[in-house]
This record gives sequence, C-alpha cells and structure tokens, in this order.
Amino acid sequence: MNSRYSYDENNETWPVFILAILSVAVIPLTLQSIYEILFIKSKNSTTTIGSIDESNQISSNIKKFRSKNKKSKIFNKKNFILLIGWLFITSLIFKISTTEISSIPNPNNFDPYELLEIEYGTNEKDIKSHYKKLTIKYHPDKIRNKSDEEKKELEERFVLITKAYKALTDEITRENYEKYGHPDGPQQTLHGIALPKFLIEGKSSPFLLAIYIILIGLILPYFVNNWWKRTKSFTKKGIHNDSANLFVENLLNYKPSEIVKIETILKWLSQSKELKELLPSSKFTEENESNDEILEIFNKFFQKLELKHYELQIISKIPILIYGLIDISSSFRNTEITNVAIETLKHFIQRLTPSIKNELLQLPNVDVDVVDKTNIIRLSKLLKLSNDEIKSTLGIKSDDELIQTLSIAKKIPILKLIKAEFKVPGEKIVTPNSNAHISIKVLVKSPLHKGSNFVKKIPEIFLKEDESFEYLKDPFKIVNEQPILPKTYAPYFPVEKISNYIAYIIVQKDGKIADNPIFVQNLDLSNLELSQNQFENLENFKIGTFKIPFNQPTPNELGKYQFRVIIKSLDYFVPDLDFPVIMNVENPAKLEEIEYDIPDPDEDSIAGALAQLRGDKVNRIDDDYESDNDDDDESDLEDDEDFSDINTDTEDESEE
Amino acid sequence: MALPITYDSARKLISVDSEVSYPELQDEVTQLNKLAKDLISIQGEIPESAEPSNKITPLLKNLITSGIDALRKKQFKDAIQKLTVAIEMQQKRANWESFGVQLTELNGILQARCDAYIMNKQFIEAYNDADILLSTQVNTPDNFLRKAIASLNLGRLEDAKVNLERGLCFHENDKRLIDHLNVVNRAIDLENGDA
Repeated sequence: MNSRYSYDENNETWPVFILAILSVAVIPLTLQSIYEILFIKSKNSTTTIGSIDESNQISSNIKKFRSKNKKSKIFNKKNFILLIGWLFITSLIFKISTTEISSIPNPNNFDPYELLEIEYGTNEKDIKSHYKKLTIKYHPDKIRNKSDEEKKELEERFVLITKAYKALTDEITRENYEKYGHPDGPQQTLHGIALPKFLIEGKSSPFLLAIYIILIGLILPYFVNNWWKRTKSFTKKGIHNDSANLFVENLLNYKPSEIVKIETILKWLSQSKELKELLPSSKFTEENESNDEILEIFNKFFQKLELKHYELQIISKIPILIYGLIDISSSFRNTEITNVAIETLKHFIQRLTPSIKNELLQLPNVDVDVVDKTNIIRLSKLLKLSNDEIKSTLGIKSDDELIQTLSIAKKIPILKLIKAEFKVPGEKIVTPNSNAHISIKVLVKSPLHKGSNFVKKIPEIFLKEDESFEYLKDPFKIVNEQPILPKTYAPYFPVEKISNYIAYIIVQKDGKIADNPIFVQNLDLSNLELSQNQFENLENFKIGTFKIPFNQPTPNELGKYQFRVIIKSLDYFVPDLDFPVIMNVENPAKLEEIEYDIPDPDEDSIAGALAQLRGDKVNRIDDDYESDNDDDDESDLEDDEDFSDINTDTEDESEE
Repeated sequence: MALPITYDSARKLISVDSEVSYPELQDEVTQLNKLAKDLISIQGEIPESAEPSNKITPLLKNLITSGIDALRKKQFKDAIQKLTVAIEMQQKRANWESFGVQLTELNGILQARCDAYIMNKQFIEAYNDADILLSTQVNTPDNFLRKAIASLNLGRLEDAKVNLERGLCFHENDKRLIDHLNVVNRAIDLENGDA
C-alpha cells in the first residue's frame, strides 16, 4: 500500500498537539499546588489553639536557618515552572485561534449518502429515484451557459454521484466501498505528523535528533536512576539504609545488662550515614569510621554555642533518625531503648542535657544555677507559687521576663488520665477474636490548673462516645476530628516542629513493647485557655481522646490480659502518662434462643429435599399406596394413645 | 579463610585474635574456656548428670542461713557481706551444673540481700538486685514491692508507681502493693503541687 507523510506545512496541527501535551502536565499540577496553598497552609498556620509565640526567643542564627530552609508556598521553583507552562498555553491558544484552517476537501473522504443527498439507510428504491433526479440535474449534457471551470467541476460531481450510486447498488463497487472506504478500491493512505516540515527535513533535523538523544539517552536515565537510588537507599521511615542497618546491629548486640543512656543513643546517631554526608567534604571521608566530628557538633549544640549552617542541618535531621530508631527498637520490642530514644529527642528539641529539673529548665529566661538549688522539679508545682516566689526560684531578673516566662509555662499541656479501657466497636465487653483498640480519655490541663482529684469528678457523660454507625465504621474518627496540635515551643531547635505525642502498649508479663508505637497529632488544647474557675465548672471544657489500635485480634481464650500504656510528649518535659490497662476477654452474652414455629417442609418440595440432604426433619406425605404397613400400625397405635397428637411430626421422630 | 580464633593446646584454651573486636565472640569463648577448665579440673569421672555439686551446696546453705540470721538480728552490714560472699561462691559452681537449680538458688540469695540493702538504706544496690530479680521473671508481689520501695526512696516516683501497678496486675488484691501505691500517688501529687 502506498503511504507518504505529510507535514504540518500550514502550522495548523502542531500547536494543538503541543497544547494537548502541555495541558496534561500543567493542569493537574496547578490544581495540586492550588490545593496545597489553600488547604495545607491553613492546617499549619500558627493560630491553632494553645500555640506558643516563640519569636522573641529565637536567635538570629536559627532564624536565618529556618527562613533559608522554609520554602515559600507561592514563590517556589515548582510554581515558577507552572507559570511558564501557562504562558506557553495561552500563547498556543492565541496562535490556534488566529490561524485560519484551510479547508481543502480531502479526496479520500467519500460518503455516498452525502453525495446523493439522502439519509443513511434509505432503501434502494428511493436511492434509485433520487439518483435519477440528480443525474438529470448534473448530467454534462444538460449543462449549458457555464464557464469551463464550472463545467469541469460539475462533471467531476456527476462522476462522483455515479460512483456513489454504484457504491450503494452495484455489488463489486459496494464491496470496495465497504472494504476500503472508497468505490474504486484501496486509496493512498496519508499520515500526518504534527511537526512543521522544516524541523524534520530542513537543516534543523540534526537538531531534533539531538534533542531526542538527549531526552531518551541522558535525561530519562538520569531521573530514573536518581529516583531508584533514593528508593533503594532509604527505608520507609525516611532514614538511610546504612543507618537502619547500624541501628539493627546495635540493637542485636545490645546486652540487657547494659544500661542505655542518652549518651548511648547519641553515639548511635552519630554513626549514621546521613549525618556524615552532611559534613563538609574536608572532614568527611568514606572510610572515616570515627564519629567524633558529629559527637562534637552535638556537644556544641547542647553547650548552647553558635552553630554553622551545616551543623544546624545535622541537628535538624535528628527527629527523622530518632523516629527511625524508635520504629526499629519497638520492632525488637525493646522498651528501654525506645524510652531513651524518645527522651533523647526531647533533649534535642529543647536543647537540654539530662537533668531532673528539665521541666523548669525548658522555660525561657531561666537561670540554670539558681534552678539547681531549688527542690521543685515539676512545672505544675512551680506555677502554684506566687509570682515573686517563681521569680526567685527560677532566677528571673525582670518582671517583663517573668510575664513572658509565665505565658509560655502555662501553655505547656499536661495530661491526666481519666479513663482507659479496651474497646471492641459495637460491643460492651471485649469478645474473643475481635478487633479491639484502647480508648483513652485524658484531661488536658495547664500546669496552672489544680486537678488531681478533679479527674474523678468529671461526669460520665463527658466520656461517652458516639455509638452511631459512623463510629462503628471508623472508631478512630473521634480522634482525628480533634484539632491538630500547634507548633512546638522550641526556639533553639533549628527547624520548626508540630507537636505530637507517641503512644505505645507494653505487655506487663515480660515488660516488652507489644506493637509499633503510634504518633498522635490531634488533641484539643483549648482547656489551656480556661481560668481555674471555668476549668472547675466544666465551662467550655474539652476531653481529649487517644486511641491506640490493638493490631492483633483479641485472644481466643477467655481471661485477663495485662498491658501498660505509655503516652509521652515528644516536645516538652512533662510527666508522661503511664498506666496499666487490663483486657478482660469475655464471652458475648448469648442471645436467648427463640423457637420459631416454622413447620417442617414437605417431603416432595424442593425445601424438603434440601432439608433431607442436611439431615433435617421433613413432613412425610402420607401416601396410602406407598406407606409401609408398619408405619401405619405405629401411627395407629399412637393415635389411639393420644388423640390430640395427630401431628405427623411425631410419627417421623418415632421412625428416626 | 582463617578464623580469628586460635587454640593453645598446651594451656587448652581458645583465644580470639586481638586485632578483631567481636565482644560477643569473646564472651562465648570465655564461657567455653571456663566450661573446659571446669571439666578438666575434675580429677575423677566426667559427671553424667547436671546434679549440683555436693561440696558447694552445704557450704552455701550455711552461708545463706547465717546471712538471714544476721538479717533477723538487724546486723545488716554483716548480712550483706555474708550474702555477697554466698553469691560469689554460687558463681563458682561448675558450668554444667543444672541452670534451673542455680537460678532459684541465686534468686533466693538475691531476695535476702535486697532486703538487707533496703534495711541498710542502700537503695541503689537494692534497686539493682530487685531489677535482676524481676528481669529473671520472678513476678512475685515481694519483688515488685522491693523494686518500688527502692525507687520510691531514690525519688523515682513514676518508676515506683509503674512497678506497683505492674505488680497489682498479677496480684490484684495484694494489700501491701495497694497501700504502697496510695503512698506513691500521694507523693506524686505533692510533687506536682496538686495535693
């Protein structure tokens, strides 16, 4: 078959082609970034309940680092590229709308119905009559008083009409038309390329070739390779595989007799690959096994010295590494290391070294030496003192500073346990082999509030959960409906962090972690704003809810199973929640068996046949001809004994 | 590939090359050497069963009873000393002797020593002993109480609370545990300024 390529000589098609490709890429990306700007921003906004303003405390060094790291939501690289994309699209649309589309009829377009000016599906008789009318109109012999050109056109038309007529009536022509779309048989096929000719056959064809080669041979492999390397060398939790291996190795070699300290965790962290990679090249060598450089940076950080940019970058990676470590250590079910890893993270976030006074030391304007002398260790104890006493306890110099310190201190949330229990959605008790979770009701309070006995006074009604179908479908909805926690007050940590809590279950029997911990970011902190009076009168009062999924089904055997739950803040030094929960697996209350008076199906019905297959009772049809004599006798006997019971059922029973 | 292990046939000891550092391997080799040495040092037949040795058992028993006697007479230092010697002697038992028997024996001594430490107000030592007891899965209410009292006196209120609560999980109605838990809870409230 003949074929040739036709190029887009008139620049009609290629703009449309490129417009299509561009819009496939640009439109979804634009929608995505609009969504990000509109919705994600509002989530992280600083105006969430209970947030603490830290702007006065941040050193210029940290400020610079944060602003460098922070990507603007609107003015970033991605949006710039999108803008260019849209400029292209508008110019293309402009070009398309101004180009006139030349209307050269395509000789290959052959539609016999259109030519004969009839509707599709007209019967042969009508076609014939219509054709006759047209031949009269267009017959070359009938044309007079026309110019040569017009004559020629009309003649061509006449030929086409004849062809069309034949295509619909003549056997062979019709076959040609049906097979090839044209009464004369196969036609030339035309392939169009939506590129202007000069690009392909002109001088610039090597240029196009080069673009192809670069695109397919270099850029594509480059991106695929990069992507693959990233996915290959990082674990799901976002830590480098080498670091993960290192943590696993350390955990495997960990001896229970060794005491894990924060220094131990610091040592492990300092060996991790991603931190080493952040060292300037002069200090980093691949074989360099020693991690003193990084430990030195940790030291500088905790000694509150000014850090360089790369050093701050190293510190900013710590949370991800510790999350990774927690994930691994909890898979090893190691409670001790998990606990210490969480503590280490807190120490980093608040830039404090281990001390029992850290609850006080995390506040601003505090004099370390003065705090050392006090015997108060809890924030809530401190805030119950008078302002002057607080001032002298913390060694605060001016009243302005005291006001600032207090405004921060009273917004550090403290949790008190109200109630914790295992729950199986839709059940009042914990049934065997079911999906349970631990539902924990907590009281969020400011250190200012008095409230240890208050917890017992909270009426049951506050703790009730919605038992609707929605709740049964997703018991965790109630947790996720709580507002997102605000940013952590952490003026010395190089990056901003949204507050969160970690919750995990420990098996009391062996003291090991039962499951991977969960991280919680939703909790209503609005109680922090309440005055003591409002707080005690339960005005605008909110109860916080945590839910920890219990990933295995509840045990098959009935009995009591003992667990311990720990909920820790990952941001502040506050007393953790740590309490026992007992899972009491019981059998569900049995439904009273109701005897439905459904008659047994007849023997000759389908239901009867099925019942017989199952071995159930059926109603025997008393067919006089087929019934045995024995049967008759028996029934006679029974009938004699008890006339009221002439039910055929009894007869069957006696038979069986 | 040569293993980083060499055997000294004269001293009948295995040693790990000093260049490579495998702490776990070193541990195992030390254990193996001890076992071999123990077996070589018996002059007679190789013992057929893991029966504890007849020589050490009566000596140990004497030491333990005199330790507990001292404890009763409130001579705590004396008791601690005797019980510590008992633990050291217990450690000298040959490696093939039944581990189960050795462990119960050790637990008995540790419990007595832990009490002595508590009464002598050496709470860190008492805490360590109680910790060992609990980590060997001897989940008796006494051991939880021992650890809780030690941590309470060390000022680790949260730790004391956790241990008492854990003990109560297994022994729901133990009066001593409940009483101590109340004391600890009150102390925590006091510390928080909530009382």
